[in-house]
Amino acid sequence: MTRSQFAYILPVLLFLVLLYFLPMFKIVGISLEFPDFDLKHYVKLYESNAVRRIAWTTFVICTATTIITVFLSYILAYDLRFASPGRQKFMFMLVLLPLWTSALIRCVAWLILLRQNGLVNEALMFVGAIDTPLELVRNKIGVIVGMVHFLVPFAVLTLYASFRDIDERLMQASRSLGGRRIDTLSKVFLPLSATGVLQAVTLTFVFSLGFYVTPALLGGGRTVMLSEYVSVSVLQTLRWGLGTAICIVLAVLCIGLVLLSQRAIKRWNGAVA
Amino acid sequence: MNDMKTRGKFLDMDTFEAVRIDNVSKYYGAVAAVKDVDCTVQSGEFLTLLGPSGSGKTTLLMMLAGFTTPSEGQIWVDTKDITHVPPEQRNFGVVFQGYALFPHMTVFDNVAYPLRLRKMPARQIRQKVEQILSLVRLDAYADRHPRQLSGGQQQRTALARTLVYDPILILLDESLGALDKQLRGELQQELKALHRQLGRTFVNVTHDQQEALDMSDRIVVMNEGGVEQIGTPRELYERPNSRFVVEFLGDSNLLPTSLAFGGTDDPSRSALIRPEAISIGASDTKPTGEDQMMVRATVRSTSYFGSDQLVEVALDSGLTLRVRVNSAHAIPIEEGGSVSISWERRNLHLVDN
Amino acid sequence: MNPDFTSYFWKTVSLVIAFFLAAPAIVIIPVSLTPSNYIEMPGVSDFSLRHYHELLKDNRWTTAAWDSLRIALLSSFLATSLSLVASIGIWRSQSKWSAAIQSALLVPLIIPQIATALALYSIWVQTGLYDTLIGVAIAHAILAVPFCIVTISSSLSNLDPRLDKAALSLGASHFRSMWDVLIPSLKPGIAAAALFSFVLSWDEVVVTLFVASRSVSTLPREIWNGVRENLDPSVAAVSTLLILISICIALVAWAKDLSVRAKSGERQ
Repeated sequence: MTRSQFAYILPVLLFLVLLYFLPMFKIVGISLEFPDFDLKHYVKLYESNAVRRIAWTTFVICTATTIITVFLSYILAYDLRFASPGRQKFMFMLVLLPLWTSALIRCVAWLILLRQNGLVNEALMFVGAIDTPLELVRNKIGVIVGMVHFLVPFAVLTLYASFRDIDERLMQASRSLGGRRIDTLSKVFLPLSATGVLQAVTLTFVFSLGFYVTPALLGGGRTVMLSEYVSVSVLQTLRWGLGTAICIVLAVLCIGLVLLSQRAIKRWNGAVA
Repeated sequence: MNDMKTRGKFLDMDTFEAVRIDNVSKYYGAVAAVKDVDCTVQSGEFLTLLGPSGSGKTTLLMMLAGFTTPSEGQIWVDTKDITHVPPEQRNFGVVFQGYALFPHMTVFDNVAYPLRLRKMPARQIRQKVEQILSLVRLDAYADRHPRQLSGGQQQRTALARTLVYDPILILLDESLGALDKQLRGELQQELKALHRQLGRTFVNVTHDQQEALDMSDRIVVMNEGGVEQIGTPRELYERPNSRFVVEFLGDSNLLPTSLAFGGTDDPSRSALIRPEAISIGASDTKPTGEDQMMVRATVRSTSYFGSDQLVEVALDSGLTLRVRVNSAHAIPIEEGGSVSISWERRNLHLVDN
Repeated sequence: MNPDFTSYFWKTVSLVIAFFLAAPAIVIIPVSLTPSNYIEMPGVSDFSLRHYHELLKDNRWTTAAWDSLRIALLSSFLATSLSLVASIGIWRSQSKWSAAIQSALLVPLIIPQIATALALYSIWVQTGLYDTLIGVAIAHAILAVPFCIVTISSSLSNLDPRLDKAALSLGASHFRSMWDVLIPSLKPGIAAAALFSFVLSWDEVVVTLFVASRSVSTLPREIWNGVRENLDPSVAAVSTLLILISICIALVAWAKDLSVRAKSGERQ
């Protein structure tokens, strides 16, 4: 890199180092009781039953969200990949509509749809599927619905981008060699889409680990995830040490997962494509 | 028509008399990619669909393969209408442009894929794949992945994958197009030999006239979605029936009939004479026979190609002609010099204007 | 060609999923038109605009909208311009180092927002950025930089590197080449990055909750407070307005895209 090239990168580097990475180091310091090097907050993190319970809830919700999101997105992205131009345009419009709607507003809408006297319950009672309203919000179901809804468009875009790199002629070749639709999907398309799926899984899981707004609104205080717990610890009980320690663990986990999946993808691409 | 019965029958069918393309058209919106095409593929022949890009040849091939449904017309295998039979039930083989080898499978697995789909026992698969790989001289490469192969090896793998399950018809979509000139020549010879050896039916799509002339039993010349002419390479070259075929197949000169034959002019037709059928002599040469026509001309330019040279001459009327001269028999030719050129009347062929 | 690799069953399933995605945006609009004091579906014929009237009278919402707009414009400008220059630097050098720097610039995207929120809060309080418009805008710009880098880098990757070299060989400085040659060819990517960072800021709530308190209030913050206190229909009215604004922006962007394509003659 020459000096003049570096000069172009410098402003953004300074901006982020001074205003982002430095503050990050500061909260690492807080979590370690700087200038001491005290791991007591991390130990407490490990020993506290409350933290364990919330971490487990977070893990369960994130796993369920990731599985459902990637599954639904795979169906959508596959359809989009081979749809006629007209259908593709219409479907993309529907898929991208949520991206143009504030995350908060979407939570409000889900509250309206899913609460006791909400549209979903009323519709189900009207057709006689149920007698008493189902508990759809202020629990894990509500949180997962909201998170899946938030994450599907991102997962669809990730998957669609990787599906577009799969040559349609490979699918045609499989058909002409005697493969039915299902053979072609399972033996040609699915293996070739593996890296795309891994990318989508990583993206969805890492994003869902940090969710704050959706669980706070649709969990209604009863289903709490780590981000909300951090916020309560810091803002209401002023336990900065514990809050920052959780943040650091989450951050390391997220970066670790991304790096791991990048390595796996690189290795896979080296072996196959 | 997509039921299992048809499917079973189709996979069992291992010979046919003819595949008939019956008045097939394909429209995209108002645009006709293929228009009223009628032609027949005879069992065992090597048929080439030849035309410039956009002439509809690939669309026609994709309709034969089953990836595109005709807007009008039918495709028959003997007495069976296969127009709406999906590609996997046709038991045809397609070698795609760019080969479409599965990148996540080895050469062996690529070739074994169609046999596995047909639920052949593993031992038999191994035997069959090894046999076909040695036929295309790839036995040493069975464990490689496609990206580790050269272009020619990829082409042969694609061919092996298609031949291995004995399809009744083999479709080649510009399958030599991406290779360099020398390799293409070698593979053309190999493909010809394989065709003779296996006795299978091939339909080849290309825009390369040399390839078409060299390899085919018959050629279908296509232009703007329709068929211009069908015939053997020799028929098409020597007796083309339209100006398009004249100009698309090889170098040509079109003369007014009065000049070509002598006598009165027929304004509705022109006479075709190929550059290699014209001979050049010193300006004082005398005609030698009844059948020979001779005129004086001036040399405009010459291009040297080694084995032969191309000479452009201008007649007194201003008409220019292209003459191909074998280098071994050439008289000295200078640009600007005057010469006499001559041709035999029997080498002329009349074409409608 | 009609490849037909998807059966009708799966086409239907995917359509249902697509409608699941669109459902919230569609449902909120009639709710905002309810005449009642509670957030609920209005009857078939009794629509009312009363909550929209109340919005305009309530200066809580109008102040929040004004603050949000200024913050979004400022942060979008900051993030887009910094990322544009940096992306060009990275694209020009194509070295191991620049690849490493690019990955580092993407970190704010990966780390949970609550961590960013705590980190910024702890520094903003010390530096006087806390609870100021500038402070909020900078916080949003930090979150937007990764998106801008990704967007602009991807349009740079479609650009022929020889364009830049040609300009330099003709005597342009690095800066002139960027200004006269690269930026004009990158316009769609820059516009996308600016739009994206604007929307991100316009919608941001987590970090805002931590770096602002009384003197700065953004729309998402007000909605957040409104939802947590009591769900009143004015929230639905604001939401509907925001959705309509978003859709207008999207339509303008789409129309612009169409006209650009029509001009460059690549309509297919």
